[in-house]
Amino acid sequence: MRSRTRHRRILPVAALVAGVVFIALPVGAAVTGGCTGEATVDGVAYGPDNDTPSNAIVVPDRDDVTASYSGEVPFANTNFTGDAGIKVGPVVVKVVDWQGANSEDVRGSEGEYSLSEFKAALPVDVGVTGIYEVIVNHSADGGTCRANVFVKFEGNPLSTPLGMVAVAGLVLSAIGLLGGMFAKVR
Amino acid sequence: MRGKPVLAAISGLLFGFFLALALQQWSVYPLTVLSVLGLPLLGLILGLLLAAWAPFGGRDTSAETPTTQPPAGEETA
Repeated sequence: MRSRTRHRRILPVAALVAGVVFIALPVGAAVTGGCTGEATVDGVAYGPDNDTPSNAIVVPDRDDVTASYSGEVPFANTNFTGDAGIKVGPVVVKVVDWQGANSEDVRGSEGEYSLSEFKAALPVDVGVTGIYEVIVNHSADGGTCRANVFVKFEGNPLSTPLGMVAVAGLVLSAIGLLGGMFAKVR
Repeated sequence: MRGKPVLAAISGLLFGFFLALALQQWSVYPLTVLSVLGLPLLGLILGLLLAAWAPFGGRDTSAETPTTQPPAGEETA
């Protein structure tokens, strides 16, 4: 009886805490350090403003897609280091990093990239779909920049392992939830 | 709890996690702190609430156990 009363007290408090967490942690984004950059994917130009899930950089699901990019830092860019990663909850999974002496202090960069090259560089062609928050850091002798943007890879999630795992997990855990709703026989 | 709280809590936790993953894969919402930690937490609470409700299955017969005490004011012969 006492344990039942305790559960009745704990559950509303836990629900309140969960609600506060949801309200207090909106998705936000920022570019710090004064760096600038833009990318053109499949003819559409994107920049630091593409920093919300509803205003993401869209990558079509085709092999012939190319992306051109350019970026600039406002400070001395010697002895630079940097990395880019994908945010997964509270952690950032590093995808790529770079570093160099850059004794000539070059402060800008531009180039072109094809999606098929990107796919060929992956260890396994697992297929990528969904929306990702990408965090980019760049540091040099003159300062530091940090930026985050959202990138949306178009495609059918059911054709990727992660999409299939998500659906299978949802179905199995829903069955488990249903099983937990059956009263114990005494 | 009338239902199975451990099963429901674990299932709710996993349901929240896979819901976050499905939302990310279908480009609805990315894997943020909010979705990766918040949805499993809500799933866990939902599981516990559903286990407490437990609308299906066996009857709780303990509440119907006949008393050995006669009603107040009556004497046994």
